[in-house]
Amino acid sequence: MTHDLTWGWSFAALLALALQTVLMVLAAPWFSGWVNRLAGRLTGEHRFLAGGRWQDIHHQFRRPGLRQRGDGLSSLACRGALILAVFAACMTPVFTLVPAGFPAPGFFLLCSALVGASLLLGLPLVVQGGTTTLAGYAALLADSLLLPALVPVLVMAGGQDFSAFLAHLRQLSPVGDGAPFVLMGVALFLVTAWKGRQAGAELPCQLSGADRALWMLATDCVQLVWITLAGDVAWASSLALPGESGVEPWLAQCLAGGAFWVAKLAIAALLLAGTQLMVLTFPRRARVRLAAVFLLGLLAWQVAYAGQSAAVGQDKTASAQDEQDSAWSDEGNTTP
Amino acid sequence: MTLAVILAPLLALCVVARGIGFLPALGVVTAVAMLVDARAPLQEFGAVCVVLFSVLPVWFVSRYQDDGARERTGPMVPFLALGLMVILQLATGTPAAMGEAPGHAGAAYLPAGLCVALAGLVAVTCRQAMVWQWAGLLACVDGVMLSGVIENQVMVVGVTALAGCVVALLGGMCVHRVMLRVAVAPAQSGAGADRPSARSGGFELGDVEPTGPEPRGLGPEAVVAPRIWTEAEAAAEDEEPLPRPDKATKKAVPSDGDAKADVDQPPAETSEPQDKRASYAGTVASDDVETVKQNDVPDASNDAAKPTETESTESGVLKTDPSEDALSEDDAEDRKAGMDPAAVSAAEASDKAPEHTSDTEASSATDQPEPFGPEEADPVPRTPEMIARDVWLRGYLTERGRDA
Repeated sequence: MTHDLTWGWSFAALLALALQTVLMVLAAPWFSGWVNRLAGRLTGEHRFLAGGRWQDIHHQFRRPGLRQRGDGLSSLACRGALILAVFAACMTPVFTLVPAGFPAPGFFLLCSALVGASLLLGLPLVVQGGTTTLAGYAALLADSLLLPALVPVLVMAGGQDFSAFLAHLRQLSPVGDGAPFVLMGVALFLVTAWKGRQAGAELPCQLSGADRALWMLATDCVQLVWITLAGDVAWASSLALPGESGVEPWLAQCLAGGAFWVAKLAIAALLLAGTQLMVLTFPRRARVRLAAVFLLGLLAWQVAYAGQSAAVGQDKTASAQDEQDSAWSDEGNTTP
Repeated sequence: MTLAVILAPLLALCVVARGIGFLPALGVVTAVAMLVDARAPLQEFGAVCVVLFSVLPVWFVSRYQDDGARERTGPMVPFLALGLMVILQLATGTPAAMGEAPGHAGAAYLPAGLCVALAGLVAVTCRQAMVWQWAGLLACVDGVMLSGVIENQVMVVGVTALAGCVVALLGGMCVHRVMLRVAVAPAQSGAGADRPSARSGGFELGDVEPTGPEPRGLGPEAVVAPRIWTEAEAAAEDEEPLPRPDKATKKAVPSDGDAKADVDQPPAETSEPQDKRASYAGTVASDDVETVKQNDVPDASNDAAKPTETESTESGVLKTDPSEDALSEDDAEDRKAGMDPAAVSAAEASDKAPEHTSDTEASSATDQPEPFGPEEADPVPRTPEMIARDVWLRGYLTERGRDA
């Protein structure tokens, strides 16, 4: 970062953030539909086209809702979940980072927003009653345990804001020194894997009308934000960094970053469809997911932390050696 | 620290979780992790060995049918391996431990080779299928070789290559001995349609039996169920398969010698050709079952008063047992109800046991006496045709169940 934040870069960053948020919210149902179709192709079923999810959401928005007991709380939870999901989408870099000095959230805030959105999405299942109550409670429990399972990943990111963390990661090659962060990205990716009641099917929601549409859109947004987060951490070099050169190279980097984002989403869709081939019972899916997130994050943190701490320790010993040498030399200088 | 070093333990976890299918990917990634740092002959030798040990077994196993072993271990086994990896990393990746290893100071460090070997050991320990354990051993070899190559230990690499050869050879021999070869049946438009019961899950039974590709280079007796199936099907084509009710009533009347004879024949005729056949069977008892079946049937049917071909076939099979012929008339009376089928099946098992190499078939042959247990109390003696049909049905069901 060679210069301070200017008004021009601030407006450009705001514009980029708005564009990223809109892109993410619009692309989320497409991504979900594409994963569904790919999983259907892998399992030999015929499912809807990738755009079918958007059509479903659009259709649900226009339908009149059927009011039931506890529907007020459910609609409130759906709206809150969508707001949190859009907030998280706003904070997640898709193709560009924010310039230094621009206010950026920390990684913990981002994860908390996503986990809160997941919790709010599980709330209508519990409120509605019926057959989905047990699954709703299990989803609530699993999502509330997600934040403790993410502790190693949160420790890796540290207290700095997320954009600065990614700007630091950007200098590391993912096939070289940045390899532990690929592991961290895998741990973040596994947060979205093995969700839902059974293989490929999401939790049945008994909402109707616009609430159902909001619920579906928020679910897709949360999934896509987790995937994008994992892709950013795993390969931060694809993100554009404003401020280090002129506007035109930044725009070119943004375009390249968007293309890389699509490529990362394609790989993630393949992997997600592959994880849907694993047949596991519902409680077991939650356990597998939490254990995978925690243990992979712990391993990634250990691998990355060993290098950093060793470097720090080496620096400390080297500086101590220098001080000692200087002291000896001082003594040597003074004794004669 | 490269991405390949990170990916190798993950792929080893996939081997633990899903089986031998991820072994080629593990081998390739391990070879890349070896070659990325240096291109010395040691690295190249290790990479070639790892790729060979990972690709060749998978190709070899792909020529055999899935043994369908029921795995009782749950999906938590990979997490045991992952937790052990974390502990291993905790023990070796700390700055105190890293201070003693001068080569890794300052860089992120993961004992990838040891992690892969650990995952392989977990697969060997916790999984029960033979192929899975073999995959675990091979992953273990990969991991130790990666460790040796990274640390530049020539002796470790050499010994591991030797051990890998031994593991691959022994595992391949076990697979060859236990598992059935894949026999690709050509698509038959009309032949399979008229007898859908002949369709097993993996292959066409009729293709296997007469001249088809032998499972492991043995005689046609190596497959129990298809052979009995064809006999029984020949019986079903010649006459109606169900036993007539008057058979049972006739069956209870004659004595022991007649009970072993064909039940359709009148008792007056039965004794003489039965003796002939018994004496003939005594002469050829040392021969193979198949040759007895081929030779004995026409002679006996010519000698006898026109018994049906099916029953003479089955009786020919059954009469080859010398112990059954050696039964005295007296004590055979009380043994007949309980011991006769057991003796027949045990004799079949003892006849076929040297020829059978497959454990599953041998077990299916040896556990045949067990289902006769509750039928010992059956007051109605069983005709040889019923016994043969039971044997066929059991073998067929076993085959179907194994394929399903």
